Amino acid sequence: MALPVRNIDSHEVEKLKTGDVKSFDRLFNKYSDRLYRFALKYLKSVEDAEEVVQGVFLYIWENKEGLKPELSFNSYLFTIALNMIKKQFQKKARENDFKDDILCTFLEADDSLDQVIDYKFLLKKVEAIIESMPEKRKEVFIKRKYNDLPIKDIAAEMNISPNTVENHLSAAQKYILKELEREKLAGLLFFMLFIKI
Amino acid sequence: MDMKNDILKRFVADRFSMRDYLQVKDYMRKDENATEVDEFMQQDWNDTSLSADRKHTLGHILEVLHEQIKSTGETKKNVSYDFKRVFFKVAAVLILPALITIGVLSYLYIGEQKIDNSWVEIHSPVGARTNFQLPDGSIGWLNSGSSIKYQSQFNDSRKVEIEGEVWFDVTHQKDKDFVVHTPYFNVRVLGTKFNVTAYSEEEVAQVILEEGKVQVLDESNQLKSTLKPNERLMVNNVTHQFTKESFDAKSYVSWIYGKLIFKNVPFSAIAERIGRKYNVDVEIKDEELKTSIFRATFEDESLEEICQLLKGVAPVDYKIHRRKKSPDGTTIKGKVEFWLRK
Repeated sequence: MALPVRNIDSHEVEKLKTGDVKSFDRLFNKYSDRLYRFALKYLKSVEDAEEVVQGVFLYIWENKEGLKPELSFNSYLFTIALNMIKKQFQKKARENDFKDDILCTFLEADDSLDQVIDYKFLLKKVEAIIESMPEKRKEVFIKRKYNDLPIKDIAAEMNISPNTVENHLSAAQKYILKELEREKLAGLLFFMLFIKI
Repeated sequence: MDMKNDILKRFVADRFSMRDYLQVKDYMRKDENATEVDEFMQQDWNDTSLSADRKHTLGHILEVLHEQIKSTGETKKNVSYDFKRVFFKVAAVLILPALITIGVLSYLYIGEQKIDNSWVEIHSPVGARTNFQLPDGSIGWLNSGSSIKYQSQFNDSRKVEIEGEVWFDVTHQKDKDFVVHTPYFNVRVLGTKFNVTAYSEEEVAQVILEEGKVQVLDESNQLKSTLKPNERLMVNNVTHQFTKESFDAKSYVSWIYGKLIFKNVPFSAIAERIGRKYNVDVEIKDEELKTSIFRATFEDESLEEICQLLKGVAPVDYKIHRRKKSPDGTTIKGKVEFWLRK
């Protein structure tokens, strides 16, 4: 719809500039829900989406003196949101890179890389499986895959031989894939993987 | 570019594969993709409606924000409070008339705040009708895939913005115009029943008047035409031509009761209405059939039944292709084909 609403908030923004909390509240009430739903589409996490809403509005409050009432508040809000969402996405992606690798290996073996997946669900499964590993093995695995430490550093840090580190790693990899396979056979994952909506 | 868009679309719609996700990760990380991703997100932001999703409330975040605001603004607040106190002391003693003026001004200021209100948007899903009531008591129906937007409290003017097809029964309010905004024209009324069709994907938009009187204005609010009951004004969105004709309003607006009534209309018009009601594409294979004139009334029939009825009364045949899912998980719209039986 082509709507003549470009400067619809200018009155409110002018008041916000002077530190009017009521105006801030009204702008929050008007835009927060849209912002939340928008952020959720990209971040796929309620907590992350809420964090973006909070971050964007805090930024707006802290920089209210520089607001320009004659410009579209909607566009201003979007620009801040865009940057925060991208930053948060990149941060999360970095954290999940090694779990993504596992998922890729698993799905590739199943020829399911192109199937519609419930990514969040699969990620949770991988996390739970990693959690369920014996302490030492988990530590080695995280240090190598998440912190990206060289094998010999891990060996030195944990006071074990590099050979043992490598054994832990391959055992971890095998264990995780086997567990994923088991979940699939148990019907759970199978359903999530091959359902097409 | 198109492929990127498709992948991003699947991603935001939660219909993505692992491969899609890896692609999105790549787009988000590489600067060379930034403009395309930004453009996609800008479009997506524009398409994300303002109306609140009541399932997820964000009040707790506002509370946290208030805490954060308070802790950063404490000192400033005290200063302004002191200033205010001193100011009022001085003012009260020295300039009483000024104080009265301030009183009036602050009254107006508060009055203005009350007027301020948020936008409400109602959307009717494709293939469904939705009825609504506006703050002034006016009622109406949204046809398939249509939406209406207005401020939660009408102030001096009653103003709504629509997309798609909407039927209005506007309550009369003396000296208070009711204005319908569409991307192509505006309709000004006092109190009346009328129908507005302005789908963005269609070339011709229209206003049909059932009762009362309406004025149709172009985008720059120049008066284009005044309609009498049972008249229809068609607006070509490409050539911007306005054409008025007499028209059977009652049968047309029967869609609000779930009926489709056609009195001497070409088959192409029937096809269009059926397509909208049942959310299918309708293809007419013969040119001759498109302009053939029909009379028919349908009420609560299924698509299959309507096709059967048409087949029974006219030399036509049909084939229905059901809605189905494509391998990539997207839905392919259903389709009906009609052709002349030879």
